[in-house]
Formats: sequence, C-alpha cells, structure tokens
Amino acid sequence: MQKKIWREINRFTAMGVIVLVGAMPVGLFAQQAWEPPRTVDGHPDLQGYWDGGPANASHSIEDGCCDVVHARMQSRTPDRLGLLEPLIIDPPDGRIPYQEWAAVKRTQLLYDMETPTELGHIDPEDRCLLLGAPRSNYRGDLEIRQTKDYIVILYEWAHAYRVIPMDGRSHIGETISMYNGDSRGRWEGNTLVVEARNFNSQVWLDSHGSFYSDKLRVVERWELVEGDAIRYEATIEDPNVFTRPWTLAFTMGRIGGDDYEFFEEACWEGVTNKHRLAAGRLAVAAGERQLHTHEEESQ
Amino acid sequence: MRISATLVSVSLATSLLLVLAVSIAQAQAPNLEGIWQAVNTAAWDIEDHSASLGVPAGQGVVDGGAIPYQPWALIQKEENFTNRATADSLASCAMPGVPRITYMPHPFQIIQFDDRILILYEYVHVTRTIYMDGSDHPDGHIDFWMGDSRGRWEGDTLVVDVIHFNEQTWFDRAGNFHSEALHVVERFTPNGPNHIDYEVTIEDPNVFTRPWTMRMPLYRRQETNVQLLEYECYAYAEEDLARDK
Repeated sequence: MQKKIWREINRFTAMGVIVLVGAMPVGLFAQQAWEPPRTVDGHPDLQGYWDGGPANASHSIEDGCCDVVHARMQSRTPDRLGLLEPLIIDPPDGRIPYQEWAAVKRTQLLYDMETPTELGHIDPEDRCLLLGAPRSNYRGDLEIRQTKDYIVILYEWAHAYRVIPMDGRSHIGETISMYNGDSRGRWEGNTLVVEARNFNSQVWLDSHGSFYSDKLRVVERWELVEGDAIRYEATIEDPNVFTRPWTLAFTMGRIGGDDYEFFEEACWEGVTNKHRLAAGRLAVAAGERQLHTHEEESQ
Repeated sequence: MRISATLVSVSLATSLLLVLAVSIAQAQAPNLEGIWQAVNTAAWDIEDHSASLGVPAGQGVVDGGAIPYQPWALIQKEENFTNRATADSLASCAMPGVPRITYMPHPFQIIQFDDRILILYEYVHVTRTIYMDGSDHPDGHIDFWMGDSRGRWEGDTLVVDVIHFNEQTWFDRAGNFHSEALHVVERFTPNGPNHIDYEVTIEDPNVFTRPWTMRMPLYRRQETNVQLLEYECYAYAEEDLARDK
C-alpha cells in the first residue's frame, strides 16, 4: 500500500519535473525585458504616425462623447457614447480635482457653452486655438520625428506642432505665455519625459470647459511598449485651480502604411463663430439658459 | 551571345553607378537644419517700393525688376493694392502660401531626414512636410493653402516643387497675386554655414506672360537661446474677426 502511494508520489514528481522543464524556456523568455527598437542615437524610436488618445476623450476627459445633438449629427449608436475607456487614472474616481471656486466656474462654463455670448464661452477647439499639452495628444492623429537635439510632434488637426528641445536648455522666461506652452524633454531610461509650462489660460482640456490657469505644469511620459504602441501619461498640476496633481493616461497605436501622409487641415480658414455668438446672445436675452449635459442619451 | 553579355554587364555597371551616385548624393546632402529668417521687406512688397506708414521702403526681390503680368492681371493687381487692408487673406490671418511664408518677419526651423524635410514656421504655426522619397504629387487639383511639396537634391541645392494651391493667397501685402494654377519651384542652396541662397521660380500661365524668379538670402539666427515661439495671428484678432468672418 505504502509502495503504491510512493509510486504515485514519484509519478507526480516526474510529471512535475517534466512540467518544470517544459516551462523553463518560457520562464527564461519572460524574464528577458522587451526591448524597444532604437534610433541611431540609441534612444527608443517613437517615430511614425500614431492614433492619439481614445475616441471621445477630447469631448470630455471625464464623460467622453457626446451631447445629444452631436450624437444625432454623427449618427452615433449607444455603444459609441460615453468614454470608451477611463482616461483619468488618478484620482481613482476619474474626475478632475477642481477647487471649490473652480468647480463653480466650470459648471458656469457648461451653461455658457450652450448659449455663448462671448468667445471665451466657445470651446477653444471650435476656435482652432492650439490645444497645448496634453489635449493635443487625444484630439487626433499625430506624427513623431526624432533627431539628436529635438523631438518634433506634428498634429494633423489644424497643422499644430511642438518642437521639444532635448539638449537640456532651460525654459523660456516665465512671463512669456503660449497656447502650446514651452516643452523640454529628457530620457529617463526608455521613457521620454517632457516638462511643459509657460501656458496661457485660454485653452480647455476638453470641450466641457475643463479650464486651467497660466500656472499649469504638465509632465508627460511617453514610453514605447510591446505591440507597437505608446503608453502616454500626463501629470497635471495647477495650484490655482486643482486641489492636487492628477494624472491621465492612455495607449496610442500606430497608424498608416508606407505611403501614409497627413493632409493640410486648414481649421481657422474655414471656421466662423459669429452665428453661434449671435444665437447665444438672443437666447440669453430671452432668458433661455441650459446646462450642457449628457443626461438624455443614457435614457 | 558575347554582345548581349557585354550589354548586360555594361547596364549592370551603369545601374550600380547610378545607385552609388544616388547614395553619395544622399550621404553628402548639406545639412540645412537650424532656425532661419529672411531679413527684407518682401512681406510688404516683393517689388521696389517707397516707405509708407508701417511699411519700410525696400528694393524688390524680383529678377529684372517687374513681375511679367498679363494686361488684365496688372489691373487686378492694382485693385488688390487699393483694397489690401481687407482683400489680403493675411488680414484675416489665413496661411500665407508659398513662398510668402518664407519671408514673413518670423523665424522658421528646418528639420531634416532622409525621406522628408520638415519646415516649421512660427507664423500661425504653419508646417510643411517636403517629401524627399521620390514620391509624386497626389492627383489633383487640391486646394491647399500651402500647396503640396516634393523635394530632391541637385548637388548642394534642395529643390522643392510645389503645386496644388488655392487662389486666395498673395505674394505680399501689395496685392501681387496668382491663380490656382501656380507652380512654385524653390531652390535652397547653402552659402556658408550661416546663409542659404533662396531662389524661387513662379509659373502661372493664367496670370503671367512667362515664368519669373525672385531671390533673397536667408540668415541663420545666431542667438544661443533662439527657439520658435508663437504668433497665433487669429487668436489675437479673434474678437474683431468674429464680427465679420
């Protein structure tokens, strides 16, 4: 009886050894870290065309797309509404940590955008303003090119671009403010880290009035990951507006074949906002105010 | 038999030489990278002009002095000049087209790769990608503000062929204009480490009697901390432009 048990134990041990041996190459393989392709300068090669952030994020980084009118215009089915994946990873509730006064102002903007009476009530995107970092990266497709001294990001939308010096130079003077801010990059291992500041306070982080001040600081982390993708993370800090730094993140995939090219996207040259302002002023004069909300679409 | 063998080896040798020549041309292509700027008055008027309020006097950049307009076009040009404060598409902050973008009073940055050359302009964040991969212009006609640029190296000269323009841009504030048949050939030739000779041939059978040329030096910006900033024309003028645009 004992012998029989012993035989069974031996059988199991033998099987175990076979399983272990069989698993070993897999285990060894898994221990080898994935290595990104590199440029001649030895840095991860991020070059090419990328699809930017998840669909709907530029409409609202908290709630996605869309308001009812847009959804109808674009014939959106219910499965394409809302945020298709969470964008804000910290805080865990996925909401922007606005200070109390700022939350009030943001709500006011959600009214104002329905009946705009001044340009500041209209989404900067609809006015073709440069959208800065991080919004440019979830607004649409982008192209990255690298040299020894610069990372260049071209955005198809409104022919926006960023030139990111990699030579360790200091930021421009604090009193110069720009729509796209002033970016400086460096490599931390395989991660491209970009610090951006010198923003103005004219741009929103999405179409939902998610505003910030000229004290905005953004730290972006761009990392090439397995599966021909870039993991993008941006930490956002603005002591005037937010209660604490917060972080959004997403993965962008490669797009385009060998002969893929961006076309000229002349945004401003084709836009007009005077009719929206005229309509907004009429509505406000008639006492018609309403909150921009996605309530109806979930019914 | 022997003849065909000779032919084969001759043609093989020729192709090898060609491949070699092309790779040498690429390997020896001058490096045009840097931040550059034109220093002249062409943005106001590419022809000779006296000074007026806000406009510095300047000598023309057009070879031979005058632009060879067809008679009707000269009348149009004079009308444009009269109405320039509003008729110039730059008055509403549109993209300036080529070559006007080159001599706007703002810096631009050239970034160079084997398969493309990027030119990034400070003025209303215009960008151009000049494809250097031997590809053709896309089929058209396409109404681009900045046209479609395909380039090649001829010795030390970057030659850029640009077509697919709209007819809304001018060459300057003085009303010098073109139609959508505009065909621009730009030649960028380095002249020492800090200068580029910029030569542009303009062809437009709808407007001119013959092709004509303008030329000017481009200067490397020397400040050690120089970088492109922003000139977001329409963002600054939006309040005014929203009234009538």
